[in-house]
Amino acid sequence: MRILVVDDEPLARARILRLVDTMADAEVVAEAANGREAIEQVEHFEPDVVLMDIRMPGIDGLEATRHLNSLEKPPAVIFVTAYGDYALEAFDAHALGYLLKPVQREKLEDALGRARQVTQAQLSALNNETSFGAARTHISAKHRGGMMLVPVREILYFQADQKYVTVKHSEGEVLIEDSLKSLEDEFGEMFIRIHRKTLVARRHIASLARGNSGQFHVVLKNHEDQPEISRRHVTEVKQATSKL
Amino acid sequence: MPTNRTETQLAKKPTATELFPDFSHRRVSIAFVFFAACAAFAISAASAPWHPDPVQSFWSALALCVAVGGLWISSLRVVAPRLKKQKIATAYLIAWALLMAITGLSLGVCYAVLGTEKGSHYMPLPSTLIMAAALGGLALRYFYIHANWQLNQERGQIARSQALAARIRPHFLFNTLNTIAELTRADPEAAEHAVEDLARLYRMSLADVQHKVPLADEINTAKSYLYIEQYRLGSRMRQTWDTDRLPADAQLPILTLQPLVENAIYHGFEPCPDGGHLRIEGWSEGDRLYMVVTNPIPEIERSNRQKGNNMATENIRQRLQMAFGKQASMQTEKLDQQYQVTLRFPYVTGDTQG
Repeated sequence: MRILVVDDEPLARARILRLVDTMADAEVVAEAANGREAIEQVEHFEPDVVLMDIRMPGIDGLEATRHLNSLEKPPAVIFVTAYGDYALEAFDAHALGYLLKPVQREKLEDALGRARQVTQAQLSALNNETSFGAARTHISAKHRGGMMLVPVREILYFQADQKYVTVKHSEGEVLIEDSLKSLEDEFGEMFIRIHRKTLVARRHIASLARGNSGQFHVVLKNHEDQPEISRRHVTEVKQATSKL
Repeated sequence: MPTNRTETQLAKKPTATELFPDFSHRRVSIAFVFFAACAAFAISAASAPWHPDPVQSFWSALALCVAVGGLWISSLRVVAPRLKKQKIATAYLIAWALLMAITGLSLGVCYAVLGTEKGSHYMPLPSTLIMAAALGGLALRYFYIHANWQLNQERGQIARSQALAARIRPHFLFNTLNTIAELTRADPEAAEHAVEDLARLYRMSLADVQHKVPLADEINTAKSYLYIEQYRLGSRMRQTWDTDRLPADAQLPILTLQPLVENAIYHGFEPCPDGGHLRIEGWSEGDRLYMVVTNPIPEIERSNRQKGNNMATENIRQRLQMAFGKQASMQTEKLDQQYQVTLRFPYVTGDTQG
């Protein structure tokens, strides 16, 4: 069994490494110090199991798991956490696969034996139970056979097409399969709807401009795109931008 | 320790000054005028059926109530602080006797001005005295209930502070135990050190929140905490201490600095992949001491973390206020990329505190 250990604390990783070392059919193939590194390492090493700390800087363990689940062959994930922030007690430890720090050797062995992929239902339930909001800090998209992570802060706007949503960000664009409505619900105040097909990041709005045909457009900071505002949304967008 | 004992005792029983409301407060004067008007109305209404001129009787009753009440309250302002060492019953008895004396004197003056016959027609001596005695009793009863209510408020506040201070974040405890579990193998000496530091932190969190400690102790507590956190955060946290200019014997409430440093770690370093610099500085200006804790603001700020922050800083602010009154303050500031908390408190040593 090939294992990836993810924890922002070097000593916590060292302990897991030492525990796994004593087990016959398990080996640690890589380590990661945060969610972003974890995703990179999973793509690179394709481990069977990820031992995932939940609270980490940047992309936390829950969000990383969510991104991992969009891979073609997602690894099994076992959460490792200290008591305090996560209402993991609400879950059956066998069904979800979680360990409490300090991790005991027997418990670890047991969990590894039962390791399986975290289901979508478990993830959303976890997101509801935990104090961290459900909003991701990054959007993951398939990109040249691998996974690309786009920080939500750098997203300029989402535009819906027939089947996909185009995510326009400061360094290009990617396609995702989420619906515009679910993105709107997830990110709430960060984005504003300007069109049936378009959500724009409030932080990237510079001003509004009026085109020749009388249509309004959003002028973005540091980007030439000018997404169109539909008649229905003009008043609301004007109000919102006057507060900027 | 002796400082601590006297303060806790003070908090347990109302002292004589607290037995009376703070008469210098504007709300109290308004309440007094209202009370006087009600009393005058009750007196004149009671005698209205057989009184030749009820309106006149109301005005004279009001004049008497305001005059007597006003004199009583002004004299209580002077007398109350001197009743500090008396028992509650004695203090109230003295206040009541004072009211009777003032009523008697006022009636005397009234008779002298209006002439004995007319004066006693408007305000007969025996019934006025009985009325004053009854209303005075009511007022004292109200003072007593008010004092107890205020005391309960304060007790509630202390209990809340205590509960907060005693709380070592469980997250921190279990993570520390995890760190120690690894250190016992990897670096037994460091493990020993970490266990000692954890014990020290836990002991401090069990102390009475009103307990004051020398600054040097408080600094060591914060350092114990950071010693443990340094293992967890590694190169993500670099710390700089510049507190040598502070007098080591200055007294301050226990666990003033440590929670600030803990906040800095929790909000500034834990969510931050790249980490940064933690600075703790201190200096004195005359008998004022300043301490400043600065930490980086992570790019992604979690709203729920912000909330916890406010609770902890509010708790420290309250305890500083209880210890030093207006001489202490705490300011929080968001600079460009940094969050800064500045504490100001007076230089008080253990001896002068008693």
